[in-house]
Amino acid sequence: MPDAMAQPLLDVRGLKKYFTVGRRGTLKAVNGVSFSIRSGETFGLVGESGCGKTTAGRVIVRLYEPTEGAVYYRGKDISRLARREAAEYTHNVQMIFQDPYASLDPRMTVEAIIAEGMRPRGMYSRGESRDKARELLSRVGLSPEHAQRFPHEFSGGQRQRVGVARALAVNPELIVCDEPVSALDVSIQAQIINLLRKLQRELGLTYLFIAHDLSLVKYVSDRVGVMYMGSLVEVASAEDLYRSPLHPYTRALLSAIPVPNPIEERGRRRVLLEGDVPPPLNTPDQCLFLGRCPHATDRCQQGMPQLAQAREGHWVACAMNEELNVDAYTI
Amino acid sequence: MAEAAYGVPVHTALLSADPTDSHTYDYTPLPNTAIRSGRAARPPVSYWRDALDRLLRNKTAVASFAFIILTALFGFAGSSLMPGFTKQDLYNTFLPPLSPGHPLGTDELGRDLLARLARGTRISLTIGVTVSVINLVVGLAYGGLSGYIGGMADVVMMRIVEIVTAVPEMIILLLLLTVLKSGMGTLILALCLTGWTGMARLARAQALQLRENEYVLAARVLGASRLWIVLRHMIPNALGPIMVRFAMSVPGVIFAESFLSYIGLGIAIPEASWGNLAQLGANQFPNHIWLFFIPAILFSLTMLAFNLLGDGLRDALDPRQRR
Repeated sequence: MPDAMAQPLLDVRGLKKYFTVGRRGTLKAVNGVSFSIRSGETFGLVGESGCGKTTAGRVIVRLYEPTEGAVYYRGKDISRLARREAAEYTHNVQMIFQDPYASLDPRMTVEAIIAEGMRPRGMYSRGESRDKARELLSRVGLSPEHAQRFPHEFSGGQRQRVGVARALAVNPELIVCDEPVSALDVSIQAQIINLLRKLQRELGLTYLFIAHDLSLVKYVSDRVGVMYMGSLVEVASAEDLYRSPLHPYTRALLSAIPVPNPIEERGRRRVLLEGDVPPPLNTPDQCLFLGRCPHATDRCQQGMPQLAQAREGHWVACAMNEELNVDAYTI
Repeated sequence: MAEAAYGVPVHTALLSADPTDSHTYDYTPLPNTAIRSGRAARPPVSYWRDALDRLLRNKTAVASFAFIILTALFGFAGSSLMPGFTKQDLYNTFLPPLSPGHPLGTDELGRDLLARLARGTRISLTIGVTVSVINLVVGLAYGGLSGYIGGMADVVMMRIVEIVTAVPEMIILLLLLTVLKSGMGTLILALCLTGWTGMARLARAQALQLRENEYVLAARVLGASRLWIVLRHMIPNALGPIMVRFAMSVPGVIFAESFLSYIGLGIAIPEASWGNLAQLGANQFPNHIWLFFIPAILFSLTMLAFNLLGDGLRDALDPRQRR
């Protein structure tokens, strides 16, 4: 999305990532996604499992090469960086992983794990990186005395703190948080989320926050993008999106969140989706939400709709968006 | 909290309603007394040092290792000290153990069993360890490469492994041993040609599994080089199962050698090996049982020791086992 105000920190344009499955199948994990992230904000990316949000995150940290489209970081295409710029990019953009049990090498001490990113940089001596690792441990709420422990001696929440410290070790600007709390207990989730927010405030970090827990995403994000089968179907500020969602898929998702108040919950209107997510291989050229959409018409068969601005800062990819836009205000 | 039609319930108890008001919800590190009181801070130890400590605490593994060393000493030093393992003495055949000059007795041609046993230990251990080391190196390189590169190379390389595995091992062994002249070199070659596939498969499985591991991805995101990832993450994490497989493959190879020698295809008499010693012993079985049981017992104990050492290594190389 073009942003007139200032150059965004990260600009994803028409990003596609296809995987070949078996002989002939093509899995369009990410199929033409565009969004941008401004410096200092948290951009939430939501969607159900398999919708491509993790793949998008992995392209951004250069674990995957994009099939088409590009990711621009401070205006530079990240797949065309010179060797030196690429090294710099790995220090500017870091990732926090989903599974705190799998993302720490069980055979390395916590100190070695945190210091791993400092090593290729060659900026710190052995002693300095040790001190820095200890400092980071206290920053993420662990004790520096834990430096010589192995990951299995920690709980899930503590391990995720180590994962955060590892990402922070190279002083990044942008952190891709790939479902950083979905493997944790709810009470621990809040601790990690608050830690991430504290760090954002203190260090001026920018987050791409990938998750499937909608209430969580609302809480952490400034803006939110909703993905369905490899495409972004709606992008808006968190408040706008949750107050008046436009895309039928977003509406269904939001109405699926239970309300903690039972009286309110009983009287609530729900949008129930029919059917299942269609098979992801070799998808047809039409709106991929067609089979499940309560508002579907003939127009929906003419290709996957592109994101269009429905209101100021509120983008939606739906052929019926004008009708739905009116609908939104009348609810 | 106001809720729109598609309103969002917030876990109010857990998350602050107003993001700007988060200082009250800040997670400040607790004194964490529960963790601290559990164990005092340990002095810095490296992973390998830690593994060695764990291995040394395992009495069974240490005893097995000591037994293997003693057996090897007996084989190598013993056969040097007693070179007369082929010396016949037809006046003193079938001497029982504890005879003067022949602590373990003699066989049907009056050859000293102790000298033959030392020689046989040397030959069998040499074959067992040499073949296992070659299989380890070849299998690791082949399987590791196949799994790490992946794609078409992996498919082709694994089909080759399957072809080698599909032909019955014994046919390859028998064919090679009948075509080439018998001896230790031929036996080693034959056992290597059929034996490397197991290690290759294990190494490939490890490489495939570790390559997609999140901590390997994390290292890549941090800008680690391929070499660093292989040396620092993949090899240490693959080492446990590979060491176990290695330790357990030694007795397997020795067994194969003994079997081939037993049926007369491996090490030919008058050269000694555990297999042909046992064969000679079995021929005299009802009357002179020590000729069979003495080599058989040493052979069995060595096999057991290698297996127990393998178990000990696996436990030692796993930091989760730390007490």
